[in-house]
Amino acid sequence: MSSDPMTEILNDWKRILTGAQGYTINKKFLNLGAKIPFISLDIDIKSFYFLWVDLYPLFMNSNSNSIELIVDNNDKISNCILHKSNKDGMYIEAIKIEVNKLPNFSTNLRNVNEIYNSLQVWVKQAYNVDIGNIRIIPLTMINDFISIHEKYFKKGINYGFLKMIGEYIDIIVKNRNQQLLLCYPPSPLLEFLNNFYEYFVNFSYIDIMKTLRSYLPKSKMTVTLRLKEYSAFLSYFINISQSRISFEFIPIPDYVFSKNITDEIENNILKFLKKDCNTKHNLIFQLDYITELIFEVIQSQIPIQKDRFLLIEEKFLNFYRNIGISWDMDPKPYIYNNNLRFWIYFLGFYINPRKLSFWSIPTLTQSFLSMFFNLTGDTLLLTGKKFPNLTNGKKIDKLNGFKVSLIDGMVEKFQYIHDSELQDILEITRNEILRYSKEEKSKINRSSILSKIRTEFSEKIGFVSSVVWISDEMISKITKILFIDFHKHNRFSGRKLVRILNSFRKNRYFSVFPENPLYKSVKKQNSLQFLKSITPIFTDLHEF
Amino acid sequence: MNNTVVIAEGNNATESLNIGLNLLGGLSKFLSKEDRVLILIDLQCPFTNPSSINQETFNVLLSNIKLIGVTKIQILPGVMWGIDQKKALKSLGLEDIIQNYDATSITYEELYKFSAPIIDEVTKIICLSQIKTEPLWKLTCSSFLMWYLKAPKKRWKNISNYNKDYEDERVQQVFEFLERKIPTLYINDCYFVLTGNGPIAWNTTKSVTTKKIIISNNIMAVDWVMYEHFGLDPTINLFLKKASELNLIDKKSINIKSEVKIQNPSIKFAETEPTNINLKGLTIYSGELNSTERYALLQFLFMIKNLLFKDSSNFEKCVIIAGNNPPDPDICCDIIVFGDSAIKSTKKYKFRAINEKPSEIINLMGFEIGAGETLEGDELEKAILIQQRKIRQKIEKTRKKYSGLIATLNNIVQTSDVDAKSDKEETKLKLQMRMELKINKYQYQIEKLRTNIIVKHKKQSIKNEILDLVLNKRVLEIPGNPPLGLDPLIFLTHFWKNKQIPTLNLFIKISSEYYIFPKYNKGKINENLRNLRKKLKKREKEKNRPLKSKNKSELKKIGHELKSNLKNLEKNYKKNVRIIKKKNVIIGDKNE
Repeated sequence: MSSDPMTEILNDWKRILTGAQGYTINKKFLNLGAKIPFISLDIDIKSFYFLWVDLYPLFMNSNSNSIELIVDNNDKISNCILHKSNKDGMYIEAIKIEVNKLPNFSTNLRNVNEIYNSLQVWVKQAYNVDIGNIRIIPLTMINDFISIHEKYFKKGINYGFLKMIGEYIDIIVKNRNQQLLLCYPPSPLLEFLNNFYEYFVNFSYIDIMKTLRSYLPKSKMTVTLRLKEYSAFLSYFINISQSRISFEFIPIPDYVFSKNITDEIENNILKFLKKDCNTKHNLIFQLDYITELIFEVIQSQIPIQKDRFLLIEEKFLNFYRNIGISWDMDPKPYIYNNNLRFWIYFLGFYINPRKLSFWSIPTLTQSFLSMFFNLTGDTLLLTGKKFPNLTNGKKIDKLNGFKVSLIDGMVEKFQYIHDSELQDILEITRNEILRYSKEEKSKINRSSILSKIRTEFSEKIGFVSSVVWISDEMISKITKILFIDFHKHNRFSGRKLVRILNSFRKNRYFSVFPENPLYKSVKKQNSLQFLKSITPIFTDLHEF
Repeated sequence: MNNTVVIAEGNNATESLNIGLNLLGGLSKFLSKEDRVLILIDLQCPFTNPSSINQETFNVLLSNIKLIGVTKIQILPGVMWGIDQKKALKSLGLEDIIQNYDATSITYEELYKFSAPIIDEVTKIICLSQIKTEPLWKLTCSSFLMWYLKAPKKRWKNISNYNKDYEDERVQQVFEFLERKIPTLYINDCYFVLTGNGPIAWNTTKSVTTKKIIISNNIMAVDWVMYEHFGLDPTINLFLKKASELNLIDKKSINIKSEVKIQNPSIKFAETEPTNINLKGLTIYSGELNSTERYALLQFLFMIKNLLFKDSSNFEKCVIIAGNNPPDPDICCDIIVFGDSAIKSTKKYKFRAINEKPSEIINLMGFEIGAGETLEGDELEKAILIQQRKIRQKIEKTRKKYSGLIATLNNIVQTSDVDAKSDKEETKLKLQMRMELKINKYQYQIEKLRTNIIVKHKKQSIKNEILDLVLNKRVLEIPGNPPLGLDPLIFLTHFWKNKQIPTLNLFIKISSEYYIFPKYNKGKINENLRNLRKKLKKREKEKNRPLKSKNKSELKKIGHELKSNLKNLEKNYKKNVRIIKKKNVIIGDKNE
C-alpha cells in the first residue's frame, strides 16, 4: 500500500466508484470496504452510496453529473474531470478531459455561471452528458487539504478529528472568500459556512472545533445512521477520551436483518450494537430527518432573523421529542417509562421528553433572556478555568473573552478578545482593587469585580452593558448532563437536571453583572423547587 | 440654542450623542459648574435596552457632564406603577455607572420630600428618554417621559379618585412642568427603538436600529421634529396637539441641524384597539371605555399575551370584560372582570350566577338516584321508551318461551289415548294462561313506568320554575380604577391553579425582585364573595316567594292525579288477571 496520501485517497475513491458502478449494473452491492476521502473513516460501499445520495444536495444543490476544473496559482486550468452519475445521482465514473480540448472561455474564471453555460453545451456535444453543476477548485486548496490530512494522520488514526474538520472548513472559507473556490449552482453548505463566518471576529472554525472538543465529555457510544434505503445502516463505535475521538466502523451482520419487519430492524441493530460494543449509549438517527434539519439551518439568510431562528429551534426540539420516529436509543432512560413517570408526576415534576413543548420553549426562553439579560447591546462573556482572582498579586489565570453583540435578541457579532487586551484590562482592574483600603477590599465580591471589569472594558474596547462569567467546568458539566447523564438508563437521571440549576447558583461556576432579576431569582430558590416550577413550562401537560 | 433641534447619527450611541451635543455647541453651553443637575431617565420597566434607557448613552452623557464639573448630578429613574426605583437601577447595573461619575440616584420620596424637596434645588434638568412605540403617545418621547417626573401615586391620584381623564392629565402634567421654567435639555434616544406592543409583550416586539439621537432644549420642538422624522403627524401626540392649538409652536422657527445618512427602517406601532389583540381562547367583551380604562386594558392585554402564550393551552376559554356596560358573555368559561367600572356595571349580569345543575341520574343496582334533566314531547317519549325497553324485551322473551313450549307440545306424536290427549290440552292451556298473565303483568309495569316518568318530569319542570342559583365561581374581579402596572397579575395567580399558569408564576417570582406586588387579601375577597352570595340568595328568595305557593298546589294536584292513575292501572291489571283466569277455566271445562 502506498504511503502517499493523495494516492490513498484516489484509490479509495476508485474503489467507491467501482462499487457504485457495479450496483448500477447488477443492482447488488459487493461486500467492499473503503475509506471516506480526506476524513479516512472506514465505510462500506453500500453505506457510502446512500450517504452520498442523501448528503450530496447539501454540497452541490442537486444530484447530477458534474464537471470539476482544477485551477493553478496562475489562474489557469490544470485539470478537468467530468463526473458521470447514475440515476440516483451517485458518481460512477470519472472522465479526465484534456485541458487543451476544452473550449476557449472568453470570460474570467470568476464568472462561473457563464463557464457553466458554455461547458454544458460542449460536454453535451462531446460526451453526450448533461452536467448539472460545476466546481472550480484551486490547486492550492487541494494541496492544503492533503497537507492537513497528512498532518493529522501522521500522528495516528483519529488524532484531532474535530480540529481537522475545523481546518478543512477554514481552508474552504478562505478560498471561497478569495473567490477561488466556486460552484454553480451555488453550494448551500459552502455558502452557509462562508456567510456564517461573518459572525466571527478574531477567530475561525478551528477555534470553534477546539472549544467544542474541550467541552466534550468522556464517553463511549455507538451512533447509527439509518439511510433512506431500509437495509442501509451506517454504524460507528465512538470513543471520546481525553486525548482523541476514535471512530470504529461496525458492519452490521446479515442475520440482524433476517426478520422482515422493518420496525424491528432498528431494535435488533441497537441490541446487536449494545452487545457487540458493550456500550450504554446506543443511538440511531434517521438521516433524512437530519438532512431536513441541516437544510433548515443552511438555507437561512445570514444574519438569521429572530422568527427564523425560533422556527429552527422548534424543529430541533420537535426532532428530539420524536424519539422512536426521528431517532431512538437503547437502553432508554427510565424517564420514558410510563410507570416511573407517573410517580414523578405524582411528586409534581412534569418531566416528559416526549411531551416537550417544542412550540413554546424557544419563544419563552428568548423572551425571558431578552427581558432580563440582553435584548440589544453588547455583552462581555468570560470563560476560563477559574474566576479571575483580582484581590491579590498572584498571576491571573488565562481567560477567554468574547464580546457578544446582540440586536433584537439575535447575535450579530461574536468577537474574540485578544489575550493581551484582556490581560491588560484585568491587570488595570486588579491594580485598582489593590489600591483599596482593607474595608473597601472586604466589600469586594465577584459581582463587584465583574462590574469593575465592565467599566474598564467599556473604556478600553467598547461599551458593554453586562458581563457574564461561565467556568469551563460548568460548560463541560452541562454538556455531560444534557447529552450523557440525562439519557442514562438510571432511575435518577431526571434528577441530574437539578445539578444544572445548582451550578448556576454557584458563583465560582457562573456569575453575572448586573445581577438581573432572573439570575437573582434562580440564585435565591432551591434548585429542586425551581425545577418543579419550571418543568410545566417546558412540558405540554395533557398526559395520562 | 432655543428652538434648535439636532438629529445626530453615529456608528454607536457614544458617537451619536457626542455628535449631537457638538452640533448644539457643546454641553457646556447648557450647563455650568454651579449647576445642580437632575437627570430624568426612562426606566418604566427595568428590562434591558431598548425597553429602558440605553446604558451607553447614559454613560456618555454622565461623562460629558462630569467633564464640565457641575456641582451635583442626581439621577431620577422614571418608573411605572409599583416598581422599586433603587432595585430597578441595580438590576440594570446603572447604580455602578452612576457611582463611577460621582452622581447619586434619588427616589420620588427624596425629590418631593416635605422638609427639603430636592426639586427646588435643581437648576437644570436633562430628560433622557428611550424611544419605544406605545399605544397612547405612539412614541415615548420627552413629553411622554415628563409624566414620570411625578411620583406614581400623585400621577394617578386625580384619575383614580376623581375620574379625571387620563389623556388630559398627562398633557396637563407637561404644561405644569413647563410653568416651573427649569431649563431642561431633552434627549430623545432613538439609536435603538423598541417597536410593537411594548416591553412586556415580547413576542410582538422588535428592536430596530436607527442610529439616531434627537436633542433640543425645547420640548415641543424636539418632539415635533421627532414625530416628523418618523413620518408621523405630530398632532397625534396629545401634548403637541394642545400646544399647536394654543399657538405655542412656531414651526417655522424650528432650526433643524441634521447629519443623517441612513433612512429609518419601517416601524410597527403598538396596537390601539383591545379587540384586535388575539390570544388563543381569549375573547374580549368591552363596553364604553374611557381613555384611562383603554390604556390600562391594553397594557394588561399586552402582558398576558406574552405571559399566557404557553399557559393558555392549559385552560379552555377565557373572557375579559372591561368598560362600562359591556355585553353579557357566555357563562361556561373563565370570566375576568377588569376594572371598577366593569365590576360595578356587571353586578346584575347573568354570568354572575349560574343555575345549580340538576344532578345527573345515577343508576345504582336498578335504583335511579338524582333528577336529571326535565324533558318534554318527543324527548320525553324517547326517554320513556328507553326505560321501557327492558320490560318489552321480557314480554318478547316470555312470548317466545311459551310459544315454543306450546309448539313442542303440538309436535308430539298424536296418540289415541284420550287421557294423554286431555293432559296435553290441559298443559297447553296452562301454558297459554301463564303466558297471558305474565304479559299482562309486564304491560301493567310498562304503563306504570310511563305514568311515573311523566309525573316525575312534570314535577321537575314545576320545581325548576323556582330559582336555584349559585355564584359563578369562574368569575374573577380585578379591582382598580384602573388596575395598574403588574398588579392584575397577582389576581390571576389566585384564580387559576399553579399547574395551569407556570409561566405567569415564574414571571411574578422574578418580578418580585423589583416590583412591589399588592398583597392578595384572601379574607377580604372571601368576605366579598360571602356578601355576593347573600345578596344572590336574597334576590332569589324574593323572586321565588310568589312562585312557591303556586307550585305547591300544582305539585299536590299532580300527586293526587298520579295516585288515581296508578289505582286505575292496578284495577285494570287485576281485572285483566281475572278475565284471563276465567277464560281459561271456561275453555278447560269445555274441553273436559
